[in-house]
Amino acid sequence: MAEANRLHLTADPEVFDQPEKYYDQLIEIDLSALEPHINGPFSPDRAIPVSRMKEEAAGNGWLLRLSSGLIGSCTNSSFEDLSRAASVIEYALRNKLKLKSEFIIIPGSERVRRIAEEAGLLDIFRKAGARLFANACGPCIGQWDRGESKGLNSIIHSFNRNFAGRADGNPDTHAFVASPEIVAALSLAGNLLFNPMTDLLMNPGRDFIRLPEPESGPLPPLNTSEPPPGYRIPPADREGIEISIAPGSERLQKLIPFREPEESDFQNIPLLIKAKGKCTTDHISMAGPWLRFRGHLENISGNYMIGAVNAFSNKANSVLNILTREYGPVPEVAGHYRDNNLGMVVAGEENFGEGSSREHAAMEPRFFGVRLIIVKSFARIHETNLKKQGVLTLTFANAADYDRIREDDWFSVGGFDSFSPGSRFRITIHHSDESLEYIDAVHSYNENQIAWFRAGSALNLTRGLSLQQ
Amino acid sequence: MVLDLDIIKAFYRSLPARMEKVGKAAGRPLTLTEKILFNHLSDLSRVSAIKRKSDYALFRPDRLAMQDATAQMALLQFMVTGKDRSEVPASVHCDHLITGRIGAGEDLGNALGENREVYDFLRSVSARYNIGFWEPGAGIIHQVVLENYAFPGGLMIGTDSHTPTAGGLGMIAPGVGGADAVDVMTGMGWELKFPGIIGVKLSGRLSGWASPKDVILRLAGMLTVKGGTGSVIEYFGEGAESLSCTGKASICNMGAETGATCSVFGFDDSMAGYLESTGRKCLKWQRPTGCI
Repeated sequence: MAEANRLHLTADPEVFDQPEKYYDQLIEIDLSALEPHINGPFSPDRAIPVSRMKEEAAGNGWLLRLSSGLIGSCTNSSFEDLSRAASVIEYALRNKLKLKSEFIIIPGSERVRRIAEEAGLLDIFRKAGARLFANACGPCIGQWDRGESKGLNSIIHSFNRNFAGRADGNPDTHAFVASPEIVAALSLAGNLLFNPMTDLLMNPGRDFIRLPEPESGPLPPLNTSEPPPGYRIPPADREGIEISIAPGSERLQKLIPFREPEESDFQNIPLLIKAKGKCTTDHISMAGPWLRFRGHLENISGNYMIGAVNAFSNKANSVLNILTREYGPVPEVAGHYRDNNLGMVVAGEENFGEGSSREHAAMEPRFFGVRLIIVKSFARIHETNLKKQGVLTLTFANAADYDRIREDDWFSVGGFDSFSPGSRFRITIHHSDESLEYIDAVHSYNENQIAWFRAGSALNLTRGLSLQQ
Repeated sequence: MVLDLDIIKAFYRSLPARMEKVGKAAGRPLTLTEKILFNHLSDLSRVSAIKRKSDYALFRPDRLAMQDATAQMALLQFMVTGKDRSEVPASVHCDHLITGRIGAGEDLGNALGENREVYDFLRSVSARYNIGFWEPGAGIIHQVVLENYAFPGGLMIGTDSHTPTAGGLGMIAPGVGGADAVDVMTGMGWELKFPGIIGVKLSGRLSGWASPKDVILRLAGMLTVKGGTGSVIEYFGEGAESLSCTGKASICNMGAETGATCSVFGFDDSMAGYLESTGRKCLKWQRPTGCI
């Protein structure tokens, strides 16, 4: 059926004839002249043709000995990838060469693993002393326990990312990215400078061996007569299925729907934090060890804004608790306000919430009862995520009003009666010296998003609709 | 049945008529990226007015895939909506929580112990909401999607940055956050700023030690880690047709390293062959034969 639709599944012929007219940017690569590349370390765009590695490495003083070579992952674990790497290693074994680096294979799926096993590829790798890891992300996303720290060391893999610490958490690991066959060749040499197209390897019998160009057989048909291994078909009768959330779990917690907002929620509420400068989703909801709690809103909220800089003290994770007049970590102060049924306000500067689109950064403030986030400008995805969670997102009409906000201010928000696309809000700031200031704020809500706000969250609105059905 | 074959058959049956509408509305030759995205617009009447890199639009994806780290909060949120099932075909893949330490068998065993409650939750919540569930050890999300779910001309989203791998089989497949997954499961449109389109013409043929991986290693060097931001990378030319389907998938996977929204190749013989060897011959030919 794809075949019959071929003309709809490629660009129109005019595009191929005059591509510069239809693409915003046009790049040409001649595959016939393309040389194998090794990209790295620390960034996947640092592209080095294999033939230039000797001068690049010498100039940068990289550690040349390769401690590990890894192939597979979601990026390069096809039958073609594994068989091209195996063809190089098989030839090396026949010529009494050995792997000089630890070698790890990560099949992309159980189906690929099985055909690689049946075709004898895994046997070749095993004979060479390689290790097979589970059909899972593993080292490609940092799930790699190498035992004791390897200190300063270099590795080469066929994955996609090689930022500092990405594979093994060790910032001193220099990671290089290449094709599986180049990883295999360089793991046989144990050295970053080896160029299989020009260099020779010496075996124990003192013969000089030139590695052959890698070869691949065609993909054998997968066994599709039975369901793929590890796949669970959803049952026909799903009504009575109980969703398993262990009581007292620290990793999973059922969400309680947020309630609809009332105008009083926005009257006389204190400032939680005025964030200074860059405030990304990583500052708002830090990753690392916290990812363990990504299914538990209460627990992961323990990281709320701990990376953000307090504009009044220039310190991270220390804010004034206006009720106790003491300083404390942001999540602790927010929790104290929540326990006293107080909403709160967060203020920020430009492009607030840029970075990865994780929704926890928008759920955590709502969990604590942050009612209003007012900034000079939002990163759009984060702003939308906050709107979905029912947090009021406003932008200073006059960016300089950010400076009017003091550490011990209280706020009252007005403008809900006329809340519509393009309307404005007026915020009253109650300073501690009993003076008042008024600032204007604008919003970017459309009708649908206003309905999210009025329902308490986008989920509440959907829930209302699906219960009506 | 892994594949939602009826949905895909209906997709291809209605494709000629829909593409005729899209073509008329656009009134000019179209790139593959535009064809796929326009065909999945919630509101086809917007085709002629949409400006690349500036206008937001709502789309209707054909599929959703989630990995076990991001799926947790997405599905906890979906539970709140009170819906009976995901509105689009969806799958959950347990691949992120297994630590490589000793070797496949022991590492998998340890992960099953350490993450039991997470797997139990995901298995049961998937069953409850009609979502395909892939156990730990079944494979990595993008490889499993390529082998079982991807189809040329489709639009899918996935809660992982390397979802674009499916572009090797002719899909537009951006990686998104959990909030987008919830929108799609609840039947709301999926919002995207209409991307720019970078054309990459591949000429000649690989030889010797050069592999598909080197195409993207070279391109990443040219574009840098920011050069693809806000754009789809669309490959074409005789060189593109000479690459294997899985090689194309490797190239699309690593397009994420240029910041690109996703990458895509046009349908060709390599894709037809891959559909056949992965048991989806019926998608290749007009008359369904030998489908799982």
